[in-house]
Amino acid sequence: MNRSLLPTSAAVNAWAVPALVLLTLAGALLAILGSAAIRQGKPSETRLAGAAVVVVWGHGLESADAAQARATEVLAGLGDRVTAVDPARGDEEMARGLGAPAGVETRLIGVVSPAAGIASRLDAALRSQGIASRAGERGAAARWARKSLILAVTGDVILPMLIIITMIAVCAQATRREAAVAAPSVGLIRQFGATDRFVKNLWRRRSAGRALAGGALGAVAAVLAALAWQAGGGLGVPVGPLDLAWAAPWALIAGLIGALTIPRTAP
Amino acid sequence: MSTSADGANHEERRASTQPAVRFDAVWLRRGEAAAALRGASFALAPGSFHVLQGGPSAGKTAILRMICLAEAPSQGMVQVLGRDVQALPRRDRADMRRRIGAALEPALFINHLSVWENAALGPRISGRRRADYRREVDEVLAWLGLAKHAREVPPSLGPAERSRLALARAVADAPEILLVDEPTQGRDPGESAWLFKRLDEFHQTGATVLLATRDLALATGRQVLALDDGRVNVADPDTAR
Repeated sequence: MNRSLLPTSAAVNAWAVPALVLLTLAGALLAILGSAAIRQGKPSETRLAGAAVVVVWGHGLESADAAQARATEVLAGLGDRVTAVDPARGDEEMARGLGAPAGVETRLIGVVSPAAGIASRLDAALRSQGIASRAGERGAAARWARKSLILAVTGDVILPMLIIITMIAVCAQATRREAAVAAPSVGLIRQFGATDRFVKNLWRRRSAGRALAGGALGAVAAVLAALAWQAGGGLGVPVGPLDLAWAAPWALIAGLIGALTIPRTAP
Repeated sequence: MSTSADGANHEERRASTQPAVRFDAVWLRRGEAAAALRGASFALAPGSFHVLQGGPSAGKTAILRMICLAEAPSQGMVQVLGRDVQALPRRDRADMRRRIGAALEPALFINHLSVWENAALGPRISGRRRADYRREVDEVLAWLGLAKHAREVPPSLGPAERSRLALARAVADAPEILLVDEPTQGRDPGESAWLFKRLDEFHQTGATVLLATRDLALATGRQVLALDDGRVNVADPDTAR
């Protein structure tokens, strides 16, 4: 039962709450994916120091680890300094960026060489040994990593800003319409001595409550959507609990916007 | 009836020498229409009970609305509880309104709240804790015969109950001034007498009561302010300015 002194406007809630749910869902999903992308992009770039990066994968009866060990031996024989990189989150994306086929287990090898433009030489050497691989210049790998970072930052800054602006517009419009419905009640409670602060607090609780409810629903929906998406293999980035936790601030952001978006002048 | 107006407040109110309400040459014009009030002057002593009598559209409701700060005079001075209401800062206006209980016509309620919640509007707005005023509101509703309707919502009440609820809401926070507009209009004599008895009981708590009515019979034996041509004639010279 609504015990607030302000009447509830079902017509306003009918569009405002779903709008806030969708906006929070979008913002939280972006945050989850952005967090996952940043967490995988950064380590790849820092771990793979050198002139070139080689990605190898298993072929036939040979496993990815066996292919990595054999490739390391072959490349070491060329006189370069070779580092077999332990598998980590995000390697799959890096490997795919370098040309590895989707769906195969991959391993990375870093190659340090005084010479430039060594990728084709490495490619030829590995191919001659029947090792499934692709080599890329270090610059190309770094560019790919930077590109993924830029995309992640765009997803984490620009789009969220647009979502926040839209949330503000939704909350402002909702309270503006509700203010018209509640004008007689507000007039009455003012007649009984309500101060400006009292009336503002009524609006603040109303607007924040609605936005927080919409935000919480949207955040939960985003977590469920990310998990379902990941389970279906469609995400392309591994999402962990820390990434999912980024949904929570979005519920709070929605609530905060609601609390701040109240009628400027009491009706 | 027992309210927090009992005890010390009772004596303080009656002992005050300043009028509870004072109108000094008050005019009220609304647009192009003829002035509703044309230099009305009167004063109400603290703890007094006056009947404001006049015909339809004589300006009775306008006077009540000016006392409870719902309307401003076009000209002249309205003083309530010793303060010039037009000079009151915004914050003080809210404080002043909490000291005045008004049951005006038409009675408006917050229709999604129960009868009990509507009656508790004053204490709730005053910032008191629910536990502190629960008993008072229960008593006021019982006193006005509304206890059995406490959980209902105002639209489900009949006209007589709505009128009583407006009165319950007006007295729930023990105001220093009680304004009542046409409480007996459309009521049978028995109901009117019952309501007057309640108003007399509330007056005994020390509050200043001003009741507007067009019914001359109700004014019998009481101090009367008669509205005529936008001016107020005071029948009791002791309370006139």
